[in-house]
Amino acid sequence: MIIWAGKLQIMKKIRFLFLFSFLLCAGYLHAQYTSDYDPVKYSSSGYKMSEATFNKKLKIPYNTSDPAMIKKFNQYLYILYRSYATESKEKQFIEEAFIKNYLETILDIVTAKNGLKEEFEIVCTRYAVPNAFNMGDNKLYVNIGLLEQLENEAQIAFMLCHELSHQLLFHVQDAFIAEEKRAKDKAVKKQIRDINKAKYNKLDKTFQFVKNYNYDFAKYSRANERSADSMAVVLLQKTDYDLREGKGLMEILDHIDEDSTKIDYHTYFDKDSVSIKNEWIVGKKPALTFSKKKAIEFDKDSIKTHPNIPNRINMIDSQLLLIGYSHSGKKLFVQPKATFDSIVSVSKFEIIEAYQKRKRYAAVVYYGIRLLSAYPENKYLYKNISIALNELSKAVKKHTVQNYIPIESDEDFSEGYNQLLRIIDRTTAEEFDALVKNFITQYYSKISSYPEIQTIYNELSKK
Amino acid sequence: MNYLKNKLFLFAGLLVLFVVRTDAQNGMHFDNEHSFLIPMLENNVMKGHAYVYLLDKISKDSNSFVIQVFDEYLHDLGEKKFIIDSKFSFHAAVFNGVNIVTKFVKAHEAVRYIVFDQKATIALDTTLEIKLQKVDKTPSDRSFRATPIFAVNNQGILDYLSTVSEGKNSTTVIYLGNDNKIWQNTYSALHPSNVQLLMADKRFVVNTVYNYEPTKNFNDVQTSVQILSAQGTKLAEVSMFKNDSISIYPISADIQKNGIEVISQFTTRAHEFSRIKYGTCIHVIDFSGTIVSQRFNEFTSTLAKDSVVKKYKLMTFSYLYMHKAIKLKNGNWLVAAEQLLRTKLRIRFGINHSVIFNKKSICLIEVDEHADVVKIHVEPNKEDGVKVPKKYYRRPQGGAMVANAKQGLDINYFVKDDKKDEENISFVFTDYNYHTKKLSLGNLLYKNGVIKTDRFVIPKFKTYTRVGIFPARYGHVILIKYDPRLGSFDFDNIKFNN
Repeated sequence: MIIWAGKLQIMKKIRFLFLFSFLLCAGYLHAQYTSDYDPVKYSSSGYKMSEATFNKKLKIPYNTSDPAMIKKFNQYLYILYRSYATESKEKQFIEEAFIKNYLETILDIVTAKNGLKEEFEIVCTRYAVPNAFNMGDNKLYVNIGLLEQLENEAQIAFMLCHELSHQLLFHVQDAFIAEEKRAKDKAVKKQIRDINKAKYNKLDKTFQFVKNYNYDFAKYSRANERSADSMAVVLLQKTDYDLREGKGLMEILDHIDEDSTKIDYHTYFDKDSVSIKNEWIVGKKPALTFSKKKAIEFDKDSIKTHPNIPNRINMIDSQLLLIGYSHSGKKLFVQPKATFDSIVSVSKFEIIEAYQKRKRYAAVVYYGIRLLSAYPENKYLYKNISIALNELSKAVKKHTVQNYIPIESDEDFSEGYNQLLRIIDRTTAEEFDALVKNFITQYYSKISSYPEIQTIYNELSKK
Repeated sequence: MNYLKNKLFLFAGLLVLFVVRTDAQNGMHFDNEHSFLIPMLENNVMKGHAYVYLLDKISKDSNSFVIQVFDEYLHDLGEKKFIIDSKFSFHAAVFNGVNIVTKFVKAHEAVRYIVFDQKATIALDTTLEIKLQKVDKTPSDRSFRATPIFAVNNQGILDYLSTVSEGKNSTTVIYLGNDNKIWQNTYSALHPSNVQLLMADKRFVVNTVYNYEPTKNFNDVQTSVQILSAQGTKLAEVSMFKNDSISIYPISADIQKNGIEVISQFTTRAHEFSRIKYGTCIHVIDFSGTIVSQRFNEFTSTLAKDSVVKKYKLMTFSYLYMHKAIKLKNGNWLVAAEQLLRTKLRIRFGINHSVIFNKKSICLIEVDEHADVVKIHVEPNKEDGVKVPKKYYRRPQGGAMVANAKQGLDINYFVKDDKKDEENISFVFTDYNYHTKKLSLGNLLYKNGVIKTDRFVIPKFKTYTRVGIFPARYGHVILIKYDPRLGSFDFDNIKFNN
């Protein structure tokens, strides 16, 4: 145990050394994004060890002494590991040292100040969904979609502490064990048998069964979230991070899906020959309505897996009051702010990279154009928007554009994104091709050095 | 969208049954009775889709159903659960401009209409005791009734039922108004007959009646046009008769200020192996049932030297089957026609001889008020293998077709966009190539007098063995991909390029 702790200390020192060297270049990195952007390093190894080797290397504490349950949980962890390896091979995780080190330093600070000896790993994913999660495998997953929305290091610290709490409090493990026990429960088995045998009202009975199960699960999950928030406050209290940023993080999460960005597509696509018509971007009222209700519906509040954000903020407030929290001497940034800014910027660009990789071309165009307001000279953005537009144009001609874009929806997307989807949807192939040509020719001088852009431009010029 | 896909996935089994039945009919025909995602159009403008399914068996005598409504983009607008007698099965749903009307049928005995308003409350629930004809499991030419419920905008619906009245097979027209008033009008004749709707508005209902007097080798069909008041009173019936050697098949009608303009196809009555002369004719009938004017244009003589007709050999051993027509803002008619090429005479001992036709081209013909052809657009289709039954009857309404396409993939329909200042009419069609086994999907767009084509071959999918289409909003079509054996199922909302 002592040897293990010693190794951990050496590893932490090495990380600090790496971090120091990268911090020096952080300011440079940030400045660089104004004109161009180089995608960061991604995971590439998809090494999958055998289950026996995995189990040998596995060092996690268990919240049960039942060997059968431990075996089953290990099997679950192995499945998780295999999917992690697959995704790693698919370059779904960011391996850029300055990002990893920055996040790991925060975690190291938290673990060191709280005397935690276990080793936890941070995985920065390329997912655009604003989320962070823990799967019970000692890994704390953070999506770039969340990182790009955060305002300071203290918020990252709170978020990591929250996920760490899930791990420390065995939330995933407990849920797994509860699920296993439930599956063997005689009363549950009888209920399922009764439903199968039922001649009438089978669906209603099934729904009641599923409803009770979901409500129990959601209630349990909400309790877990509350305890993770509470423990995050305890963990963070011992560090120099400003605890009030826990509330700041919650406020961001409360409005994370809101996007009121207004984009003037005319600026980018209009030219003398073809310009965007008003009828291409204006939304239509549906001709029909039908109550918006479901025939079979869960109670929305009862099915929520997380408590309401205002409740979470109140809870953090009262906890701060209880511990007599004083923010004097507490910081928003322990590490240089420039590095944080770089990570936020990288996250914004990496979202485009992630969408490009998943062939979500309309999303590339929308987020790209949105970013252009902050980085109007960035070649990377112009290049990726041009490539995505060209792919969309090709797909329109092949009648396969539906594979790359969703259908407009006021409920799911921002008005800016819906406008772009309408343009693609309502133009003919020639009209859309002309708009694509307008964009690429307008900005060709900025991106003419890229061979792929040259090819696209030459093809367009031939038409 | 994903929710919808998942939901529909559950009912892939239903689709399999549907496919089995429609193969015998007319492909993935726009037939509300068999559709599971029902397109709801108003004046050929897509308003949304309805989906009605059996949810649960509540007791021995009752079932619960769910109606789910989607907008033209297939966004879920809401659902409503309702309970009805277990002897009723769902048949159709239609949007009449105000409400959504669903139709349930109790075999041979009754029809039940349940009307939902746009707040998903039941506005009307009524059952009519009517003796219905037995439905053939494999519908024949005659028993095939492609008559979806017709919506009279903002007023009500018209439903055409095959009934039995005084021991005779009859057609009963039922009108269900938004003011919850109902009337019915029954037509019965000595010979097999069929009544179909040509047009209806707030003043009149215009029907066409087909009376079949089959002979050994050809169909002797007498047709007439019925004018009913909006309250269901028969005002007049006009026989569409020119002389003994001509049959007139009404396709569509336009109710005008002083009368009704009816566009029809006429053919000479001839032995099935001999050359048939045909063309279009336009009748103007006043409301008292007098023919005010009639114009005939025999294509086989007037168009014989037309360059387009010659280029595509439309008249060479061919017959143009005109089955749909839509009135244009400029007063002309846009007629959809299919060139059926007589390829060979099959002679088999002991079995009746038959003629094999191939569907060669799809044509959009613009016809003026004098029945003269203004424009003809031909979409050639080489080597399409469509066998036409020896005897066939016309079903001009609502997308009915004469031909039975192999694999049951033949469908076509008109759909318009909702712009009031422009005239954009889309004619969506499919063609299954018998030899290459490829399905081609196309859109002939009539845009302010100009016809543009967008046509492409649907690729074969690795995981799905069959494809089909359903009407979607203007400029789009729903492509359904499925595997009847595995029950796997998916669909795409394809955008046309023109």
